[in-house]
Amino acid sequence: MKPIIAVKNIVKEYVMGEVIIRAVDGISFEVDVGELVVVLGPSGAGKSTVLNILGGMDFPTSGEVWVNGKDISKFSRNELTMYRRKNIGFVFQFYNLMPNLTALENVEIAAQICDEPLDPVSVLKEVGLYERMGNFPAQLSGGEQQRVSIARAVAKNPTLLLCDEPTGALDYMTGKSILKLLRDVNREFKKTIMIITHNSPLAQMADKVVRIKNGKGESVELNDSPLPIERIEW
Amino acid sequence: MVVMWIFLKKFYRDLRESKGQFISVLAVVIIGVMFYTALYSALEGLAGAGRRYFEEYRLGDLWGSLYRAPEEVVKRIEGIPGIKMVTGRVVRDVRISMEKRDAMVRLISLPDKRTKVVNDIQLKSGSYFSGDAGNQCIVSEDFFKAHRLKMGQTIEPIVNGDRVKLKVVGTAKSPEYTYEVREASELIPDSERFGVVYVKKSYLQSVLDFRGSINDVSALLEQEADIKKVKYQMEKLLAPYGLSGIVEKKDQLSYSLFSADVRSLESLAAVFPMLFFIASAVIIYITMTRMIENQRMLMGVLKALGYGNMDIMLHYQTYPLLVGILGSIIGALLGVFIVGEALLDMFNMMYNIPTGEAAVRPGIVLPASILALTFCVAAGWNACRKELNLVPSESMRPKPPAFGKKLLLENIRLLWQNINFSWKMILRNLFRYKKRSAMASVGIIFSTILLLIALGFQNSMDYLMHEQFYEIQRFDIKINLSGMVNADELNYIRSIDHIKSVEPVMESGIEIENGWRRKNIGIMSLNSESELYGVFDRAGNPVMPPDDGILIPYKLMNNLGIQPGNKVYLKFFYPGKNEDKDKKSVTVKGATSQFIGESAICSTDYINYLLREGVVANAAYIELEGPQYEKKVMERLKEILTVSTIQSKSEIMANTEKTLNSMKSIILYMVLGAGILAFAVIYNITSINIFERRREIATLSVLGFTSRELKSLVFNENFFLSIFGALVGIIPGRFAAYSVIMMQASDTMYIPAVLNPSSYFIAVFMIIVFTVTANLLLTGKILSVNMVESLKSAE
Repeated sequence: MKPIIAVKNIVKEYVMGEVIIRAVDGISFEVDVGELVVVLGPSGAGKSTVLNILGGMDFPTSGEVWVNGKDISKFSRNELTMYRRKNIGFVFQFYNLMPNLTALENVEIAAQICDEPLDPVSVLKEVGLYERMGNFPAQLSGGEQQRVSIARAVAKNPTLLLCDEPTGALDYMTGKSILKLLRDVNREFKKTIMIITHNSPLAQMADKVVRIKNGKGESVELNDSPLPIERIEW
Repeated sequence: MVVMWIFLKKFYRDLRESKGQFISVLAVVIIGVMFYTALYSALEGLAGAGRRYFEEYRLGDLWGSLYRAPEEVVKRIEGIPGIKMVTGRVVRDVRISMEKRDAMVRLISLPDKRTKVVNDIQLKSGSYFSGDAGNQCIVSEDFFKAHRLKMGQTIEPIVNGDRVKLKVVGTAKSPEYTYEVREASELIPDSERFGVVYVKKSYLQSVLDFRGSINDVSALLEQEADIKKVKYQMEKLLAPYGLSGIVEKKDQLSYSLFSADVRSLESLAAVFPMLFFIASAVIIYITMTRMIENQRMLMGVLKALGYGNMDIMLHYQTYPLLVGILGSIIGALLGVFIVGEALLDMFNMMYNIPTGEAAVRPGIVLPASILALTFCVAAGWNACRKELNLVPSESMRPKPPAFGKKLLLENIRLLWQNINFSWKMILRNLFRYKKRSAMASVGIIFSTILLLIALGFQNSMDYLMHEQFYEIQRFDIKINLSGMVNADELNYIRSIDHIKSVEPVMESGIEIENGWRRKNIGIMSLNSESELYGVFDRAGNPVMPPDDGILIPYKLMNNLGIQPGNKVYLKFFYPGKNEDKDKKSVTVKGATSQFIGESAICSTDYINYLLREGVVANAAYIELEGPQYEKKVMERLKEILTVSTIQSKSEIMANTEKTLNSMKSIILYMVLGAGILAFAVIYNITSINIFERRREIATLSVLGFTSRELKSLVFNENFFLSIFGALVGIIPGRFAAYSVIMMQASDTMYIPAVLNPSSYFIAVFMIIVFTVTANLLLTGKILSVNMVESLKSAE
């Protein structure tokens, strides 16, 4: 099967006056449909940069990024916007919900711009927030807000779900439940999910682990028997 | 010292990042200070200079115009207690043929040898009369310039049917003719058509056959004199000589027009700058508050590092201080040298007063600057105070978002369900941060008010012009006759080719007496079915000059406490009939609305009945068959000896238009000011909005919202606020416009307050234009919100 994502030797340079920083220095990997990928690496390794490029939020300086048969590294700004709209669901470390909309409305606002969205109410039910649909983010706990965020991403019915340190702002137990949720979404909705983290034990839950260090890809490993979350301790 | 330097660097960098905001806040302060200094320095230049001028050249307190009296009458008047100085003169309006065109001049006598007189002249060039030659003259400076005369040139007015030669020996200005118009019905001076010429008294007396006599008296009073008493005495003394009323200084044409203008400037100066200052205060407060709120974390960090409240406060005060000081300096310079100068130029054109040069006067600039600075610093202080009261750890934590709750509006299910998301977000945003939204609206409301005041002025002036020249003064030409003529004489005029109709008019001075209250005004008698002069009541309905009573101006009715149907006493200043015993009791039939001048109105039949003189007229209105005959007819009229003055309406109108054009520049400044205000408010608020909501915008961008969709989110909120503000501003705007315009009214001039319905639309439309422009300029800011950067931090 052809991989749904193929990242080929991408490089990302930031030019700040006379200083040139190479955040990403030649990384390549592939992802198949329905895989749960964990991108691992210490702080500043370049993981977020890769995710941002994959998510259409940034251009690589060089290299190719093939998603669903198109090289998004050559996309114009408008094309990238469309790409984000139709193909990507993003989950942030700090949730980034609209403070002026209820949980349901936060999911609806994402769903309404997509071609074939999932039903927001059902998705919220799936993440366990049916009773809190009418609450504003200020009235929800961190974990609940992240659930809404995930629901928002999932409701878009995207090709790819990208999660940047989704449990970074949450405590241990809540974090675990979020990861479990992501895993369930992956298995039940057959969504390709990429999770970034600096927390190495999490590699055990992935189908594929991409290790990045100092902007370079260290290794890409397949994990034949991923563990359920409950069994992972850190 | 090192500490300060770092702070300054920080300040400078912060400033660079938000250049646009700084400029727009600065602009508002500049405008406030500018209007303040412009109006007050023009006022000072005009009023102050005016008053000094009047005193220096002894502008009279009382004037009397007579038929003819022996010179020694002056001595008798001097004897009246309270009189400080009296001058008797000979005054005559005559026609004169100049190279450029024909004109009228007022010949006024001056002593043969230079002495102090009432209504003295200020010699501007040349010299006073000298030695022997009788036919020397001193010409008013404006007339001299308008006709490009040269010193030593001869001008030839027509006196008593003969051409006389007068040699120009000097030019002058006089406080009596600061506004050089012939009579009250002329709205503006036209130095080509009318001027004042001073001649030797002995010469004028001989040429007019007036030896040993005078026909004009003016007096200066002592400080403590009782003006009414002196006036009464003078009237008694002068009555036998055909006195046509004693005029007080406050009613004297040029003085009253001048003071009316000063007063209207004063009222403008009181209202306008305040509006701007208040608006700037509001804007500065909003901007400062939010800018400082956005620095909240930094302030917390500084406090955690150990900086005291005072240090931090002082640092953040740098911005308001800079805005205040810079705004004051620039605003004062612009106000004095650009706007103020333009105002002074306009006054110079209209008045003959030596207005001072535009100069920075500390008495004016300082209060404005201090006011501006106070507003700025107070705003900054207040904003800081709140943040600084927090404990460092508190302020370093991100601000808790406003408590989310449903709006009342949401209860209207049907409505709420059908609004799309952007509007849901916008409405929630607006209502949740009510204070913020209200403040933004306030700026727009002020702007709307200013626009409506400006448009109101324009509308009112247009209406005045139209009413005065199309509804009221419907004649094409007005002539004054050199004496009372009876109806047959007018037939001669009627027979002139191309004249369609001639209507006789009798104009005279009268004194109205109601109990102990009395006033000198004019009376005009017209044909009952006059077609060439429109008479209207307060509501604007046409009324006929009454056969059995008089109509008087509405304002006068109020002042004298007269009701329609009341009887009053009328004393005529008609030669031979101006004794007290000749007083007649007449009924006041109603009120008439007049814009210019103060005249009672009745029909010719009635005045004939009152005066028992047969049908008499001393003026006439003429209608032409067509405008193309104007020149020809006027030529013919000039040949008629009994015609003393000829006025063509088209000339007056053309002249009025010219002056109104200069009024337009003031209105333009107002509109510009309003525009900058609206623009500054919107720009600022939106700029801050975008900054504060950058996370939202970034998230939506990540979700896949196109830049167009993002823009409409922010800008729709702006439109809502703008239109809301504009609509709310309509009612106070109308009130303000009416008030300011009403304040301009004086005894002799009344500007009707008019605000056309279309003006409301124009005002709202302009606000929309300003909003759109501000939005367009901010497009870039939205697009530059960096998705990646905005979403990384916890805040």
